[in-house]
Amino acid sequence: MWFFLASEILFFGGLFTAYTVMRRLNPDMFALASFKLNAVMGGINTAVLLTSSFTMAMAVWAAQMHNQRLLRLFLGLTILFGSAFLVIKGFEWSEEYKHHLVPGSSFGYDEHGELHVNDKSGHHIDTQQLKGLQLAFVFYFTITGLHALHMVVGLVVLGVQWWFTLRYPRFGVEDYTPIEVSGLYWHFVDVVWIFVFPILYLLRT
Amino acid sequence: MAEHKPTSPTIYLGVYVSLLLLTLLTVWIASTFTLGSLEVPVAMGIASIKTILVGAIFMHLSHSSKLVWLSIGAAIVFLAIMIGIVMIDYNTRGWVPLRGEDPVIRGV
Repeated sequence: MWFFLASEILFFGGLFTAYTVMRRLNPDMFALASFKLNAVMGGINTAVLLTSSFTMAMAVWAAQMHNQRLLRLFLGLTILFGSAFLVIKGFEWSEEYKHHLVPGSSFGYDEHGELHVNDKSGHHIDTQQLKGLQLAFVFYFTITGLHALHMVVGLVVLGVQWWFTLRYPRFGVEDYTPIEVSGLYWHFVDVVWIFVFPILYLLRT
Repeated sequence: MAEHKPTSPTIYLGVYVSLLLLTLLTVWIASTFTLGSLEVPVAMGIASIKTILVGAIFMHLSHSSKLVWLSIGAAIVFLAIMIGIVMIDYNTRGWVPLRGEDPVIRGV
């Protein structure tokens, strides 16, 4: 599992490297992109995900204690908080869609073909700046999208394990390795978000 | 994944509360201060502390085998090489003028 996580570090690392280079080349527009994201929702989501990591750690503990009912409870809570994260993320994405911030041929333009993006002081930005801003949002949707995909994979794994605890009376508590391994994956996805959140939402200058 | 004494729930709870407080701290710093060039190091420093907490306690790295440490350490070293060398390249462009280069377009 750790070898897989090592490869995952470099997978997300490649994305962060590309982001860093592009931010270095378009500092103002990448800062504006952070400014336009909803840091309150991002912050709440960070707390939700940290909570799910805590319940996951408790699920491993319950497995080590040979208590399958507690294990099932904590797996269920982890799935619940993980799903809540994705729901909040979905609301954020739809908010950005409404503000014409999804990259594409009409990025920044409303239905009437008018440019609808202002900078921090409320002035319209020009088309050259719009390109930089669009690049920032390409990174935003790629990084958060791939992170969300990892969450979905984790939720499927945890869902199957939750179902196994119903089906097999000794699952997880006889040998806690399967729970430990899915926990490692879950915590890894949490760690990725620990970096994604400040990089995408908080760096505004 | 060797057998070891389970970490107590109190420690997990303490780590969880610390993680939430560190999240509040990084949001508070970002929304209150204009740090300029310190912004990135401060935000990444707090994220690193959070990562160490998750890794050491939640992921049981504090009592994992040397092989686990080696594999994860190697990934981090290679990540540092990747980001480090790429940024050394971008940050030093234009320091040394190339022959025949237009000085105006120098430095990306």
